[in-house]
Amino acid sequence: MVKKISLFFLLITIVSCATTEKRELSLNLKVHKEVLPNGLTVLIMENKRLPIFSYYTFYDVGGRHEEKGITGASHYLEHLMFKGAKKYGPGRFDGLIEGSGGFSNAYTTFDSTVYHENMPKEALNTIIDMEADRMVNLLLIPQTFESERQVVLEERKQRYENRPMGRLFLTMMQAVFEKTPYGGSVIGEIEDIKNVTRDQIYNYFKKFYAPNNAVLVIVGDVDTKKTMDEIKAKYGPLRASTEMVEIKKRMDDPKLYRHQGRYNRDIHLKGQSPTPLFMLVTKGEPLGTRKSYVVDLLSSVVGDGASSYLSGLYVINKDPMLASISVGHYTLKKNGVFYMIGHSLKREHPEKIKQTLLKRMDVICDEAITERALRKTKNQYFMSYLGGLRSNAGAARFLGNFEFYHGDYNYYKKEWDAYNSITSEEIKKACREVFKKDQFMFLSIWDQHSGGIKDEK
Amino acid sequence: MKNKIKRYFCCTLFLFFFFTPLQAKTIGVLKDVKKLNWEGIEVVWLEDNRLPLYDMTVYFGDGSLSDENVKGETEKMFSLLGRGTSKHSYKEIAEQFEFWGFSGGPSVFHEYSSYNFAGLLKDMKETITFMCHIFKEASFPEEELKRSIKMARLGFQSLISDPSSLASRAFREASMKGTPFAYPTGGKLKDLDDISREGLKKKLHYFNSKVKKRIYISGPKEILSIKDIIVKNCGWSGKQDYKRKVVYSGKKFNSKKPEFILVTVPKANQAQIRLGRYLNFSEIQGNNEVLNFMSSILGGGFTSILNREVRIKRGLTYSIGAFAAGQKYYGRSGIISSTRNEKVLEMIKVIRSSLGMMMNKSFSKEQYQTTKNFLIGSHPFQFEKVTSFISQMVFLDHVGKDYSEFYRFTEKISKINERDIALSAKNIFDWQKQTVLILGHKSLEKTLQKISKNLRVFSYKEFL
Repeated sequence: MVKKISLFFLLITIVSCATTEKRELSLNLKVHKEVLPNGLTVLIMENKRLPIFSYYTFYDVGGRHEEKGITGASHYLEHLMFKGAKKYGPGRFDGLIEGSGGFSNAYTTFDSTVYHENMPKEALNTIIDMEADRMVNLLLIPQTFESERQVVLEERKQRYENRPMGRLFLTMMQAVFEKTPYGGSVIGEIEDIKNVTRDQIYNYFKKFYAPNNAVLVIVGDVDTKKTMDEIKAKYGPLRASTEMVEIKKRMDDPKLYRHQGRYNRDIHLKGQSPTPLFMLVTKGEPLGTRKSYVVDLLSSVVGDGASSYLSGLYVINKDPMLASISVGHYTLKKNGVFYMIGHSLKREHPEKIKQTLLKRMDVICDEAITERALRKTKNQYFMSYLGGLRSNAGAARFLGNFEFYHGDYNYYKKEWDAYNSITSEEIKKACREVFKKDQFMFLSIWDQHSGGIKDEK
Repeated sequence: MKNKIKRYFCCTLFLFFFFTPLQAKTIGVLKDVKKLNWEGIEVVWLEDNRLPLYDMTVYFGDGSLSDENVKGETEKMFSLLGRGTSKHSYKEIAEQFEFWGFSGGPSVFHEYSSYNFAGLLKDMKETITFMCHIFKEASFPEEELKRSIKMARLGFQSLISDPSSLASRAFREASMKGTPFAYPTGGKLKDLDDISREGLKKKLHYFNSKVKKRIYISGPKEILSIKDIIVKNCGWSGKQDYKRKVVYSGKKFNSKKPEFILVTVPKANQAQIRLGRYLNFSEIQGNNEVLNFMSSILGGGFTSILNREVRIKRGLTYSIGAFAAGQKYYGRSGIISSTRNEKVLEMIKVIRSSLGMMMNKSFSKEQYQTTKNFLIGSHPFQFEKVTSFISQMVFLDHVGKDYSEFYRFTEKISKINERDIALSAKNIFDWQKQTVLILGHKSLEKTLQKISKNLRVFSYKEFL
C-alpha cells in the first residue's frame, strides 16, 4: 500500500562504514527558489502532512547596523513592526493572526531580524498581504511608540540587569568586540532606548526594510505555484532600495569588524551569584569559513556535554571544582568569539579557576582531541541537523539560515561535507593557535566582588 | 457598528469553510496511532516515517506523592539514573549516550512521572538495551550522589538570580498551601540532607516492580522490534499496575479578602507578580475547555485583554499571561507578569479591572470570536511535533480520557458562549479567593500595605 503521507524529504540515508565510521547525509530537500525582480528571495517547500504552514521573513539588518546613539534600533523596530501598517492598522495584525488560529513572533540578532508565523493553511494569502504591507508601510503611531519604549526597557532588565549570566555575556561582547559593530547588546544601551526618536526609527526602517534586503521562507501545506503567484502580486510592486545597497556596502567592510579587544586581562563584576560565574574568551572566526568549522568542532570536542574533556576534569570527578563548564564558538557573519563558560561550585575568588584553566592549555590539544571524541561530536552535529527538521518552523529556520548566511539554502550539504572532512590533526593545529594563554580575557560575576566593573591588567 | 457586524459575519463564514477540512486532515494524522499490548504493557505507537529517528516515552503511574518521608526523592532517583550502574561509571554512560547523539530525561509530577528519550533509528536497539540496563542496574554511587547534592544545593541558592522562576516556585507553594500538591516535586534545600543511596535504590525498585507503565513510541514499523528488549531487558510487564490515587476533599476558601504576600529579594529592580489559586476537583471536572477559553481571552496571546490593557495601552510590562487548567485531581489558575517597582499598585489595579471586564462580559464579540478561532485553528499544531503529540496522549491516558477528545475539541469549543466565559471568570478569578504574590525589593512592603493590611512578608529563602 502506498502511504498517503507526502514525504517531507525525498531521500535520507545514513551510511556508516565500519572502518571510518563516516556518516553521510544525503538529504535532498525539494525546495522552490525564486528571486523576484525587486530582489526578494523566496523559498517554498511543500509538506502536506497537516493543514498548517510556517512563514519566515529574514531581514538583513540587526544590531551591527546601528550607528552611535541609536543602539537597539533594530530590536525596538522589531517590536514596532507588530503595531500597525497602512492596510493592516493597529491591532489588526495580531487580531488576524490569532483569529486564524496562528502564532507570530520575531527575534533580533546582531546580523538579522526575523519575523515568523505558524498558521493554518487557509490564512496563507492574508499573511502574504500583511507581511508585504508592513515591509514598506509601517505606521509608527507616536503613542504606541512611547508605550513600547517602556516595554523594551522592561525586557532589557529581564535579559541583562536581572540576570548575572546576561550581564556577563553583555560585558564580554563589549570587551571582545570593543570598537566594532558587535561590541554591545542587541537590545541597546539604556540611554539610547530612552532617547531614540520616532523619526530616527522611521529612517532606520526606511533604510533597511525593502524586498532586496529580505529572504522569505514558507514550509507547509501550500501549493508552490499558487503561492508564488500571490507573492508576486503582493511583493512584486514593492520597490527595491538602492540607498540600502550603498549603506550596506559601507557597513559590511571587513575592516570595521577586525578584533580590537584587549586580551590578557580580567574583568570582575559584582552581581547576584552566590558562586562565581565566569568566561574565558579569545578571538573566534566569522561564520562559514573552513577555519570556523574546525574551531566549531574544537569547541565541542573540548567542552560540549557531560562526557567532554573539560567536564571530565572539573565537573565529573571526586573533588569537583565546577558545577558546569562548556565551550562554545559564537560565530557571527563578520567575526566570532571562542569562549569557555562555567559556574564555580565553591565560594572562592575565581582567580584559581582562571589559573587552572590557563595551565591546562599546555596539554589540552594533545589530550582532548581523540578520534573517538571527534566522531562523537560529528554524530551529535548530525543529530542536530535532523532535529532541526522535525517541524515546519524548524525546516523554515534551517533553510532560511543557510540562504541568509550563505546565499544558498543547499549550503547545508557543503557545511556537512566540510565538518565530515575535518580530521583530528586539523583540529589539533587549530587548537594550538586558539589556546594561547596571553590571548585570553577572563570575566567573572560574583556577589563577593567589589561594586561596579573592575578591570584588571 | 456596521463594520463590526460585517467583520463578525466574515469571521463566522471563515470558520465554517475553514475548520471542516482542517479537522478532517488533523483526524487523518490520528490514524497513525495504534495501540498494542506487550506482555500486558500498554503500548501506543505513533507511526512516523519522515526521519530516521525514534522517540520513546515511558509513563509511570506515580510521582512525587510517593515521597512520604524524603521529599524530592522520586525526582532525584529519575535524574540520577544514569550516574552509574553495576557495570558502568557515569563517565562511561555519558560518553556512550553522547556518542550515539541520544538524549533523554525525566519529568516528575505529583501524580505521575515520565521518562522521555530520542535517538537515531539505526542505534535504536543498542540505546534501548542500554537504557534498560540503567533502569535495572542503576546503583547511585555514593560519590555521584554527593556531587549531585552539592550541585543541587548551589542550584537552589542560585535561584536568587532567576526572579521569575523563584516567584513561580513561591507562588505555587503559597497558593496551594494545605493541599497535597503544594510541596515542590523536587523537594526543598533542607530535604537534600535526607537523600540517601539506599533510599534511591528502594525508590527505583518500587517504580520498576510495582508502578504501572505505559510506553509511547514513534518511528517506522521497525521500532516495534524493541518489544523483546522492553519485556526481557527492562523486566517490565502488565503485572506492575499500581497507580497513584489521591483522596482529598478539597480546599476551603473562607476568607473575604485576597491573600497578599511579599517575598523579598535583595537589590531587586523589578517586581514579579503572580496571582491565582488552587482549583478543586469539582471546579475542573468537565470544564477544561471552558477554563482554556476563559484564560485565553484573559491572557492567552497578544490580543488578550491583559495584554491589551497592561502591555499595549500602558507599557507596564514586557510580558503577561494567564492560565487555568486541570490535572487529574486538581487544577490551578494564575496570572504571570512583572513590572517596574513603582508601578506595582497600578499593575494590580489594572489586572483587577481586567478581571472585572471578564466577569461582566465586557469583552467584545470580536474578542470572543478571535479567541474561539484561535483555539480551534491552532489545534493541529498539537500534532505537528512528535513530542507534543505524545505528551497530549500521555495526559489523556493519565486522566482516563479517550483520544476521541482530540476529535471533539472543535465541537466543545464551538459550544462555549460568552456567558459561560463570564461565569467561569467569576468562579475562578473571584477576587476574594486569590493569592497575590509579589516578589521584589523589601521597600515594596510599604507600597503593598496601602492595599492590604494583612500583608505577609517572607524572605525568598523560605521558598528555597
